[in-house]
Amino acid sequence: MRPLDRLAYRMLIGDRLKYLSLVAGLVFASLLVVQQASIFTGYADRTGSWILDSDGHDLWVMDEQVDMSEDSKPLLQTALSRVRGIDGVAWAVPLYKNYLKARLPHGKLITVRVVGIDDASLAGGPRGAAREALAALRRDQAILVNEDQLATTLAVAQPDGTMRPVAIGDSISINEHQATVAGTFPATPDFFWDPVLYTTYSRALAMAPPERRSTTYVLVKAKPGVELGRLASRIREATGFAALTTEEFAARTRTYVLAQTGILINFGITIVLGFVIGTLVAAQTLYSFILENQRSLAALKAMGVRNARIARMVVVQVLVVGVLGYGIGAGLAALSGSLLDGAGLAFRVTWTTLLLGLLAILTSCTLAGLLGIRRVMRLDPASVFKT
Amino acid sequence: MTAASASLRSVAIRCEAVTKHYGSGETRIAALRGVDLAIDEGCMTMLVGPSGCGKTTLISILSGILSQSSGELSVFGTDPSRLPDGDRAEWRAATVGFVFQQFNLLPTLTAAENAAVPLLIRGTPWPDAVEIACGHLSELGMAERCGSLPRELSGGQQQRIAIARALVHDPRLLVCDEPTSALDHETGERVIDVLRAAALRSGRAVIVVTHDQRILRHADTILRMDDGRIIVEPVSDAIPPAHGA
Ligand SMILES: Nc1ncnc2c1ncn2[C@@H]1O[C@H](COP(=O)(O)OP(=O)(O)O)[C@@H](O)[C@H]1O
Ligand SMILES: [Mg+2]
Repeated sequence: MRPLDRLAYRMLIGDRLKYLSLVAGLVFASLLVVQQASIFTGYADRTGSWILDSDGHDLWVMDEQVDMSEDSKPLLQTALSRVRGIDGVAWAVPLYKNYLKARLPHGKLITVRVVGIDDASLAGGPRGAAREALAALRRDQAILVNEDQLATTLAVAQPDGTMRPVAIGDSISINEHQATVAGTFPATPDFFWDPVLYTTYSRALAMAPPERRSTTYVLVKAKPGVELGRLASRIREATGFAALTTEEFAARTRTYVLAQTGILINFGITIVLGFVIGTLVAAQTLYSFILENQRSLAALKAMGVRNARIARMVVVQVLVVGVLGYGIGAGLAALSGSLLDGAGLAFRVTWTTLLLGLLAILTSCTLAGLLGIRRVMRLDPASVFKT
Repeated sequence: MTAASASLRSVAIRCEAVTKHYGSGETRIAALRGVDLAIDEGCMTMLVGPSGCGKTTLISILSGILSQSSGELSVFGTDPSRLPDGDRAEWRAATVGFVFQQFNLLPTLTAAENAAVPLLIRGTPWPDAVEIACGHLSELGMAERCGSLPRELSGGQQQRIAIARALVHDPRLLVCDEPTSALDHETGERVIDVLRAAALRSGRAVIVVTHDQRILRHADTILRMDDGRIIVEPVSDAIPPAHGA
């Protein structure tokens, strides 16, 4: 460390109380910024979970108007055969997806998302499901239910009034069609909260109201060596349908949800507010610290420290508190995240968040520092002779 | 240049018709109205005069902190006002030692660290600078106080830190604003002895602004200022020199 940098550091840490309050302000700011951004990322990540969980195929073929995973627009009856005829398609199967009413054993009516997968291949089923659970779908009236919601949304009231988790063998009536819980599957937590129930395609069609009895998606497996982007555009040209990889479909869902629902705005406001409040606190403390040091800095200028070196000293001070405050703040945010995560809240810290947060905090510190430096640059070294 | 410097050999500082005004137009204040002076090397010069007569302005210009509005200035052959800002700062760091009236010590540094600042400015590694500074403090009777913070020390002790700081990098020009005002008589005498010793080495000059009548007798030259001008009177005419030199 250059002697003057060390001098800057000593000026900074010399007054413990001021130093701690500076760091505390930045910890607070960083905590707010990283935490809000991570909750946001967590929720954004959870959009389209069920499509990300589905397994076995390469492309989703759907009506071009479909904006996201929960938007079901029926495809024409001919869609499946037309897609099957396209060069490069190894196989194509139908998938049905719709919101339906379900009546739990004790009579409670809830909304569920019913996904019907191809009777023969069971392609598009949940990735985490055990082989036996999937196979159980072939049984009469069989449905699979989401493990996480057994004891919550799907819980069954017992005669004595207590609740129990729904269990294999329980009957659930879906849109007045009898169904039996045949197995469970682990699902990635979803931004959309209605439970996902899997059944076969034909059973799902039977459960659906007559006007909604048509394919929602065609799932496509490409022949080995076929490039997915090319295949997707061939499908689009031949049928007029959109063909997306699971990742693309999830991204389209995420974008739509963020843009069209309030969550982007709501979180945006929280993040910006947290950021503004936090950084204002930090910037204000930092700025007043520099102002309080004016006399010392003027003396240093008089004794022959160039303006550029004075600026560098302020930068050293800003960097020290900025990096330290951010480190502690981001650490606390991650810690609080693991607690929130345990409580079922969406929380995901990404490198991008950490980097952007650091950038944001350092930027605001630098701005405060620059304001301070501007004042210090204008300091009249002759003022050191004044009483 | 060579002819001029040969003839100026023993002159440390020369001012010719130096003026300084602050502000402009209606609010223009003439602080120096044409100062002529020559200060010899190896001399302790004391600057006296009523408040507002321009003493601070003059030492600020001599030490390269302010630039004169007009007139010729040479400080050991350099006119600092002609240097670009950055170079002038470096010239100050290399050439001038300051004792400010308000001490201007850095509150979070120890006595030795404070005294080491001019060395640190010039890039001396921290431990070396602090060790040298502690040596200077010891010469001023502050050996025990090297690790103390300014606020733990008396005004006189703080003043001695300021003086150690002014001397630590062995500057050619020492500029002191009221260096003894916070000191008792005995300490004041001691401080003046130290400043004198610094001045007496060849190629050095010490300028002391003071109101302290007790120390005037230590001066080689007393410059009296009034209303932005200077009246030079040889010290031998007024007060007998305290030192044989
Ligand atoms: N920065 C300044 N701006 C305007 N006027 C100033 C400034 N500094 C000093 N002056 C004026 O210049 C004159 C000389 O001031 P100064 O050199 O401080 O005198 P002294 O140190 O002898 O008391 C005074 O009238 C003072 O008010
Ligand atoms: Mg003055």
